[in-house]
Amino acid sequence: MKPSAPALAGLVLVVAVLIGLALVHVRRYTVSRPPIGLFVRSDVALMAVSVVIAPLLYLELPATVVAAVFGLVTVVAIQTAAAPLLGGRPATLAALALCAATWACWLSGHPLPTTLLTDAGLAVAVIGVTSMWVQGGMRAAHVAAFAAMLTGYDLTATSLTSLMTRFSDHLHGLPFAPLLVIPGSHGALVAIGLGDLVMLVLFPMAAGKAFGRRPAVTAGLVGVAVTALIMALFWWRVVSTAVPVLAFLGPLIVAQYAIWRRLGYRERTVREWRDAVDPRAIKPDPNAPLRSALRVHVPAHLPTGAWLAVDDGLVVGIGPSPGLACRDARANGHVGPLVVRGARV
Amino acid sequence: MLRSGIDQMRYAAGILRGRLRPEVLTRVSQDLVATLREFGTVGDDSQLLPGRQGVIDPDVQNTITTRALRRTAGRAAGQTAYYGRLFGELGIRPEELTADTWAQVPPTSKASLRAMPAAFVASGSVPYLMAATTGTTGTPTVVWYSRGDLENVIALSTIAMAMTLGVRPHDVVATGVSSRATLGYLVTAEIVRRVGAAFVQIGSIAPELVLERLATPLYLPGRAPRITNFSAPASVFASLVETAERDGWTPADFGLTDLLSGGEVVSEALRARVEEAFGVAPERAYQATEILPAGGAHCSQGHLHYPAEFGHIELLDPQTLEPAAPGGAATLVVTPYVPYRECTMLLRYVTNDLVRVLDSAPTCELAGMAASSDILGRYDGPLSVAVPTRSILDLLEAERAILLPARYCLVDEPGGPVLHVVARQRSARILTRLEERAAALGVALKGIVVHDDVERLPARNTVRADLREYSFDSSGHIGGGDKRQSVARSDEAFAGSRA
Repeated sequence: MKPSAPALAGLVLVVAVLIGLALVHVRRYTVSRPPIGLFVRSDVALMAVSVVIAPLLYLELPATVVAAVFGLVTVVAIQTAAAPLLGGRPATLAALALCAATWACWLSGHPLPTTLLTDAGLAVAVIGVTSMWVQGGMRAAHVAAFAAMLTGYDLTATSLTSLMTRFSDHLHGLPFAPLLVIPGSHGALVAIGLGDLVMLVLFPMAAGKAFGRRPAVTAGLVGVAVTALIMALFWWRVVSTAVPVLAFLGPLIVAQYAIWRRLGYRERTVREWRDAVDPRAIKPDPNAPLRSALRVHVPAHLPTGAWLAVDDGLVVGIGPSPGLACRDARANGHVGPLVVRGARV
Repeated sequence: MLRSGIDQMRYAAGILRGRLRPEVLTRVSQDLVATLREFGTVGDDSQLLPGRQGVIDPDVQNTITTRALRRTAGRAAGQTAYYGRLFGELGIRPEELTADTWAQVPPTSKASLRAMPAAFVASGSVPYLMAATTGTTGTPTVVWYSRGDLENVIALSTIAMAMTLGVRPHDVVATGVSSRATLGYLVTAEIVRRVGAAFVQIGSIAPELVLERLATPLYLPGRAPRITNFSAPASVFASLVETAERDGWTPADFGLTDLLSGGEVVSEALRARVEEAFGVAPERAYQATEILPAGGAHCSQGHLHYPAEFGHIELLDPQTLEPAAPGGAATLVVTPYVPYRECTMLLRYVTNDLVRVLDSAPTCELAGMAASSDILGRYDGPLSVAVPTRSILDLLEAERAILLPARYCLVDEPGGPVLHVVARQRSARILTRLEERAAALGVALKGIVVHDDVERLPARNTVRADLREYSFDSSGHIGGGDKRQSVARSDEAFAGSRA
């Protein structure tokens, strides 16, 4: 059955809004982090292993147990996202209230509120987790590596095998299912998986942290465009079953990362990002002032033991020792960085 | 992030079990450095880091202390010749000791350790480094460290240096401690390597040369233009202040951002003059070769606080070695804990470092840790309690007519101690100023005698700045402005010539 146009458009809109909110969240709100430790390559490797193992494991567990696990994770993630806005305890209460309401709706047999609340919880949780990762030091390179790995995995798990379809069917209708479903799509399901959503939201945030506003906006637009393209494919009936979103998005993330690096952007640390350090700032050639100092003409009458303080190729101080040559330079009004050399090099 | 969390849990578990793998602590310190590099600051709950003890319930603290003391006493009694014999003779059973009955263990004097260092080395350890005190009070005291001990000290010091002093990869760190102070040199060099900063060993050379090194631009890639961090004993700072004031150096001549002084009493007067000369006041640290990694940290209110994690600290009356009364003078008696120290075992080691017991519980940011006043000086008999080194230095180092480092001696005479001191010149005005300041500070002196020659002192105090290393380098000795004329003035010689 052909999905409805509003549902397809609604999903694109939700993705766009989520990316926008995530970018605002990561910029404006500082999430809590442990006293020491930052996101490193081994964390990416662990995430990759988890992504592969988790669906296989969940398929073997009763659906309600899986829902409970996701519910617990959702509470923690919502608390993480909401704590900077509401404070620790109110955020915990809000997370518990949202999850309790979701659970109650499901138990009382109200599928639409269950879906809506699950979607809301999932959206906030995705923002919380991705914001925590990026603020925890996750680099754009980490995201690109993760995306590259997920490209192959998603293709295999979604298209070449029935793993993701079975996983989706296993959890369909349950609260906290890792699927953002657009309600009202009678018949055909319009939904996007948690993994796809995380990568759509994560890379713009990581690109913003690493490279700045323009790469972040570009990454967001690329994510929305990929989502829109896939929805269009559904509308045009080019595809009618589950589509591996990351097979499209993953290579684009890797390509964006490579392009920004190629353009001379370097990855900023969290501190540099918060200090708004320009990622394209060209480091001055450290040898240039030294070369300039070596070219200085030294009068023959200067004794061998004399020292010269040089600023931009100009001798601005002289003394019997390096420190005294600098003092002489300062006495002459030069307060900037100096290069000191002996009279005879 | 996950591995870092696991390492922190392994560290905590190791402390509870009493078996700490040095490499775990090392990784924690490396993670801290990486965290600071990425974020600029540590995250929330930094009181969970080693040595950053927060407020702990007294009963819990008592249980932890009892466990640590039993573990330490057990290793000392079971593996060292000295404590094996002592515990056997006195019938003390380590497993029955508690924090409340700890006083059953007789204090260990510096003389005992000096007399036979090997008797304090645990048989199950592998000694690696012989660390010796500078011995300014006589014979150096020898303490053997295993590689594990040293690794622990380095890791904990890395955490302290990175957090307290803010050493970062951009920095150039120099030390002005004697190159023979092997432990300090090794630890500092390794800390700097781990932080990723640059290291300069200046040593205890002539102050003119030190100032010259500090003022010399380095122009190295990725580094600060000049030395940013400098550590030295207080007397070395005193000699640098003297020379800087004499030769006309100003803070603008240096690029110093952090100074650290340890090993000697740093008076407030000296701190102020160091700040005047270099633009930054030195931070203080209380550490000693014998008791590492136990030590003290200063709070904003000037107290000295002792983390309970690394050692047991007692404040005892220096004469009776019984608990000192609030407000009274005390000597620090320290038991460094296993597993931080496993080679040279010391139980209730009498440091002879004098402090004053606080009258009331502290309310500062480190109120969770036991505290005392800052170090007053070294116990050397009742006179050193009546007129401690700190009060003398507070008196003398504020007076610009006194040559730094201050040369003085106290002579106990009927009616009270008389302070003999060397000034630039003998003058009634100097004497009057000193007498007035002594009265204002409440220094209990019968009188002050000013000399203009150190040889006239009845006895001469020794300081770490006396541990001078000689150098063939003559650049610093060229010194002040008049000698610059021997080369040329730049404006005369070059008149702005460009290459």
